[in-house]
Amino acid sequence: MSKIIETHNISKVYKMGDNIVNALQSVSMSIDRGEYVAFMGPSGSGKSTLMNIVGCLDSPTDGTYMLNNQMVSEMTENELAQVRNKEIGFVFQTFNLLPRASALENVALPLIYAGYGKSERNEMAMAALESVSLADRWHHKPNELSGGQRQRVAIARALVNNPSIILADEPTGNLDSKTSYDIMWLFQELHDKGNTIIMVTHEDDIAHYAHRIIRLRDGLVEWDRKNDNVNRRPAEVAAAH
Amino acid sequence: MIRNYLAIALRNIRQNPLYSFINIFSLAIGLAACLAIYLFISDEKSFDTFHKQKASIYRIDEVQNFSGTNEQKVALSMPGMGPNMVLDFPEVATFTRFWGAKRLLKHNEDQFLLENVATVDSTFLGVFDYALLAGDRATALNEPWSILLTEETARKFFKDPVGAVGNSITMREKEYKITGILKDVPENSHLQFDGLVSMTTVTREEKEFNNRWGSNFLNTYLVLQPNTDIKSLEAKFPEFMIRHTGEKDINQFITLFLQRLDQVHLGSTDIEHDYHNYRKFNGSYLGVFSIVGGFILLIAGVNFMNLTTARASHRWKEIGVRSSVGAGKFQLFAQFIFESIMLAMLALVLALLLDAILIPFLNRLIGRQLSFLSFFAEPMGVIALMAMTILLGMITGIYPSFYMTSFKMSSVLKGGGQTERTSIFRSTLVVVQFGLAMAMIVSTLIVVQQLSFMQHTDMGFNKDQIMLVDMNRDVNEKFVTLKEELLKSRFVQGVTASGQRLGNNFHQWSFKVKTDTGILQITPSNVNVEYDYLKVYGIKLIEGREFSRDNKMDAGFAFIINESFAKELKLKETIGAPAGHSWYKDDSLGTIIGVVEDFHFNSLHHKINTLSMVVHPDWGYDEVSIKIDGANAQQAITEIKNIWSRNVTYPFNYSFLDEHFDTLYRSDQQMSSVVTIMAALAILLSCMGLFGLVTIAVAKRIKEVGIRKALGASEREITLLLSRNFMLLILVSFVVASPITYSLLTQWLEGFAYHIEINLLVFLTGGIVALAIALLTISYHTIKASRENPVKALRYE
Repeated sequence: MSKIIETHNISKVYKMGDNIVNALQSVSMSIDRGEYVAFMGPSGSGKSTLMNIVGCLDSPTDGTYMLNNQMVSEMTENELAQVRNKEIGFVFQTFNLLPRASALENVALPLIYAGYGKSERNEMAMAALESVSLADRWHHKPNELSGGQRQRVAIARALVNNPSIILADEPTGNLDSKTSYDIMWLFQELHDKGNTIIMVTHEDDIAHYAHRIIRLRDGLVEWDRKNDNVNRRPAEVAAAH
Repeated sequence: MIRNYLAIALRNIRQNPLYSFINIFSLAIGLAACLAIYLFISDEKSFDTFHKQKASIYRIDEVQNFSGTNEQKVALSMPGMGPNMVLDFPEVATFTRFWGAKRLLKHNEDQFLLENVATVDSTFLGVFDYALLAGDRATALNEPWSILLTEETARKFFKDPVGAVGNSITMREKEYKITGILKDVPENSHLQFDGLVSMTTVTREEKEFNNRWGSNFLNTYLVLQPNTDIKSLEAKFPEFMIRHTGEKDINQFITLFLQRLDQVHLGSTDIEHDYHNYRKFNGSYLGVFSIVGGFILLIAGVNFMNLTTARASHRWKEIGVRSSVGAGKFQLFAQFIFESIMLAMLALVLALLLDAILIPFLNRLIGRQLSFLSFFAEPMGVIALMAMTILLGMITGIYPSFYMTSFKMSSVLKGGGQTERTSIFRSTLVVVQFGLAMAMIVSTLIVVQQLSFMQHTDMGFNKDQIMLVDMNRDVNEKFVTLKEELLKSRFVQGVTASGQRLGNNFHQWSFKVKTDTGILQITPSNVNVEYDYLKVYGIKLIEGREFSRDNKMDAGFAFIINESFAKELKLKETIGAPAGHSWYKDDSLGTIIGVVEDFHFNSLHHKINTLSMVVHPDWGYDEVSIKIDGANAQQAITEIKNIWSRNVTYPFNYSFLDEHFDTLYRSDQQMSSVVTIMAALAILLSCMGLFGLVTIAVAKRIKEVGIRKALGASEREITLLLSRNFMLLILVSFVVASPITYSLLTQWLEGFAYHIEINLLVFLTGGIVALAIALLTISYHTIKASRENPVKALRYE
């Protein structure tokens, strides 16, 4: 399989007043296309920093980062914005939907920056909403949707541009257990369809939906192993769907 | 309770220094501007208010409508009018005339040329309340050859000015007895004088003076009985004029009207030959200034309302908690009103400080002696100021207070507050604010253009580097020698003289021209000039010839007229046409020898009138015009002064013609200065408000910015997104403000006979300037937000 993400000795140092915090220390790793990876670790382990760098939301202080054969660690802010738009679909813990925009408009948002025309945008956004079973709620504003529905709108938005990777930051952090499982099963389906998914979580149970788990501690990779015990949707639930 | 309110208000100021600064500072600027405008208006309105009978005093003015000349209002009247009106009309209690002139006064070895020594009736000090330091105001002006001097004038001649009473002083070779010393004439008197001479001096020498009709050359003031109906009194004037002048058609040419004393200073812009109207000001500009001041305060108030409501969400929790522990809506409302009053009071303190610093600069700019201390002169003034500020605090605080106390307690406590929607009210206020700012920018551009047009329009003669020096009989007699001496100087390029100064409408005299069909009577403006007048002033001759010393008939019997006059005459051959003043006999008329291109001998407020120029050295000239070498002006003045002293004894009293023209546009210049300052303040205040609003708007949208950036929006797209709404509001302001501003400016320009045409590009420029300044203001926040790391924003809750 081809490598979609490759980091080499990336570090991130924050200055907080007189203190220097080494959020990441020489982290090297690679992720193949189609993998489903979870970054795990306790609070302050560096998992969010790693996700921000992988998601091109932040740049490393040191080291190199290749995303889909592009050296993103040396890109300018506007180049990074283009990479985020084309290569990455984000799913956030707090959904991060625009409150005054409808579900359809929220999903279509990345397409605006990709330069699509309005009709094409709406068509693609509708298809993405259909893929998360929310086509009938396209006109609803976020405050008219449940937490799970909001997260599914966020997932549809992440998918709409057909990105290289889906990056989910604590995607179940704001959801109840049942809804959390619904979202995980949706991720399972996306992975089964060939999408590359990287998920950040501090919940062991949720991390086990991924096929590979990278555990971080104090800015270092503590371990990186294949998950032999993948949580899957029970057959009867799958059948009911 | 009040102490609690005070503590909360102070805490709010401390916790939000930026918004508090914008609120207090913009209100302070608004108040300071309004106070300065108030001082200006009060100063202008204070003119002549110190006369006890001010409500009953009227000036006789005329509307003159002579053939061949533009209709005009004049402040002049005939000597017979006052004495006969008091006899004919029971409504007229008394009258006084004022006939001012520049005079040379001598006492022993001292001589001083005084700007205005007025001949007045004995009733003058009964009509007007000019304070007397010595002498008896009831009798001081009774006797012929009596003179009253102002303290300043008396001090020039006597060590003890008050003790000068009883001394003699010489004027025009006659001895005058000093019968009183006047306190210096207040600055806010439209009549200014250095001394007063009794009218009996004139009537003793010219017995029929009080029944002299025909010539208008002095001012007459009437004191009317209480409750006099002005219209019905004015209706009696036509019959009065026929009766006294003996001319049945006199009312075709002259219509008398009365102007109340309080209108003389502020309502005489359209009145010509108004020689004794000190600091005459266009009263309609006071209305403009009031409106502009109101606008500035409105803009400041808008900032306050906008920022307070926009930041309401920051106080939801406080409101909720207070409500939950029992605070009623009224108490909350009172708390917010108290806060806004407190901010307004702080703004007042700052405003007074600003005025204390800036008013001296303003005085220098507009030539006034305004003092902010006058607010504290009377306790009522201080109370009124406080009351106005409290009212301002209440007015600006009402809407935000209603807004903030209208939240539902339950949602407030949950942290939700009211759903934040785009506030139409707030947007409207921004539109109003920027509309006003834009209107003022455009107005400034147009006013400046018009003033520049007036200053740079080709007047048809050369007004630069022309020095004007007063003449008397002695100088007139020695003029030929003086001129020869002056022309020897390398700093002097030309010398001439005239009976009246350019820049004022020349006196209109009856004139007659012999045509094929008979004698044509016409009343053009007239001026007595010296032979080289056209040459020195660069007035272009388009037909005929200039005056010549070699031609003896040119002295008194040759006329050069302007193009307008020539057109009015409609003669086949203008040059050579027999013509003369009304008193010339029909069989001994002079000749029109030349026609000059029309030139603006009056200010550009007025259309060019028909004009006739004559050389009449016997009549005497009032001023020498000396064209000097502008590159060496100081040396030229020194040398001219030396030549002057060697040849004549009359004091060397000079001025420059371009300065005289500047004074003609003083009202306009001052309005321009005020509008420019106010436009700058309006845009400053609007931008301060916008800066505050953008700070709040960006802070509210910081998460949205993060989301959009995470999804691929570039910095440019984010900047555009955040600026778009404000740009739209400014565009709406432009659309709303432009037609109103256009209409107002068109009206203003119509007050000038010669004016610029409004170029719509000026509006576009104004719009672009406002937009550019607004974008610059908001760019700090929008660009900062667009460059912000989206991670921070996405973490923001």
